[in-house]
Amino acid sequence: MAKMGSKAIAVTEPENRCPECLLLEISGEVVAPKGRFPNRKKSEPDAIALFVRINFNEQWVDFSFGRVKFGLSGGELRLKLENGKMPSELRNQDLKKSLERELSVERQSGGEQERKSQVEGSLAPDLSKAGLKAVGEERQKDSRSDKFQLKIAQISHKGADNQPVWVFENKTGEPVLIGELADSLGKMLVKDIPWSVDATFTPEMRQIIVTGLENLFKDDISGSKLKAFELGVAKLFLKHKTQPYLSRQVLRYE
Amino acid sequence: MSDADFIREVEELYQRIAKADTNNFVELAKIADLDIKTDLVGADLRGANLRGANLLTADLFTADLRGADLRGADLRVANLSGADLSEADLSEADLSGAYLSGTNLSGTNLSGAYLSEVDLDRANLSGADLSGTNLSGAYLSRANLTNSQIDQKTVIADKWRLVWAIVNIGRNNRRLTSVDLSYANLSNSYLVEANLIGADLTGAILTYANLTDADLSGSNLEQANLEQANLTGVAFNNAIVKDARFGSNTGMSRSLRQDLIARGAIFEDAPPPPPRVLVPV
Repeated sequence: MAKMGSKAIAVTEPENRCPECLLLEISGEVVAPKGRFPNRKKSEPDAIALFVRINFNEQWVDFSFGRVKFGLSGGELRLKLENGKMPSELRNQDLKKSLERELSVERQSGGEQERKSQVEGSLAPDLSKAGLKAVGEERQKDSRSDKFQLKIAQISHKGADNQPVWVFENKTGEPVLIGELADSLGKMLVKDIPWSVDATFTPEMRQIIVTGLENLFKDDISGSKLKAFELGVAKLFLKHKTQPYLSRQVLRYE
Repeated sequence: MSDADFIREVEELYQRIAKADTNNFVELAKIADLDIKTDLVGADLRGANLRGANLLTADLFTADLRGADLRGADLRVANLSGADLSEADLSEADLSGAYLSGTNLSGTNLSGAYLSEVDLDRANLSGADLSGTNLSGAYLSRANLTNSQIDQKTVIADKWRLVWAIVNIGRNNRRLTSVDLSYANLSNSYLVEANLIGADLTGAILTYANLTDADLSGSNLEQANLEQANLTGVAFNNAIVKDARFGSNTGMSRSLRQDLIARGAIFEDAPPPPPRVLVPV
């Protein structure tokens, strides 16, 4: 609970239904009140600085037939503001830059984990798809050593003042987004009390990517079974994990 | 993740696909409960067997279909915008009314395919096989036709057949007086000594074109792109150059540059240095 004078901003436990592939946390800090609203006590805020922390990664899931690794290539971060608004000019325009910075940090520290994945991928060299994945990961690992050559995720914003949306699209040249974004989202103007911020992150089906498979479809020379399976898994992930959201956290002040 | 339903359904999905006695992607997609009309947006379908598939009105936006087998497929009114179909086989496929804006069709086999009324704006058709292809009413603005193949059986508007000839058959002294080449992609074309008097080149792409000694008098170059073009000896008398883009041009004199700017042209590069004046010592 973040303290705010005599009252506090209530923060719900973050709900992350695939916490390794996406971890979302938001927080808020009171911006010094100016007493602009005559009905409100001076101690109450008229603006809240909102912060986000999003960690993108891949996640292995065990099944009876083998293991599947997931990641996200994008999605939408939506804020639903009750008694608050965040016009476009108050949103952080430099979010993209901060992701670039944090991705670089992640790449520097993520080598061990990636090496492990690569070995796992090569355990089944006779699988056409597994072999391809292993090669892909090797290429990915190579590119990570040259962090300054990487393109970054494209983050744009849209939506009404009370429902701002940040759109994440993968422009890294890698299959999925990996890295941490921790930065200000911008400033929310408070219209009245109570106010709340309901933050959710939801990907589309095309943004749910299977990045690794183990012990699957040994006889699938054409690759058609793997393609159908990957898309089918993405659809089931969408159905079970992202309806109505993949991750959610709520800030509330009464 | 510990969602029991998710785990169970994925395991059931695996069993169904593993047992399937087919490598046809459409059949497998059905087994996987995929809606082939809506679930393939952005999908990785490289090399997929989609021969004869019913993809009528399917949304394949940004799908990766490189090398896919789409022979005889029904892709009428399908959305293939932004998709990569390079080296795919679409021979005899029906793409009438499909949306192919910005689609990569380089090296694609489109022989005998039906592309009537297709939107191919900015599509990359370089190296595509268009022999016997029906492109009647197709919108080929800014489409790249370099190194593509067409033959007598190819049905294509006279305008686009001419564009194809210009970009693929280098010839001096072409007579192109008053022809409509608006929004044509003529990048890298050989137009040395071409007579383009009064030609409509509105929005045309002439980047890297060799226009040495061409006559563009009275032509309309509004919004055309002539960056990197060789403009040595080119006549621009009375040509409309409003919003035409120039830059890094061979043969661009300082005075011509100033004249074109005064007439509304846009230059993307720095002006050339002023001529050196020799001062007696």
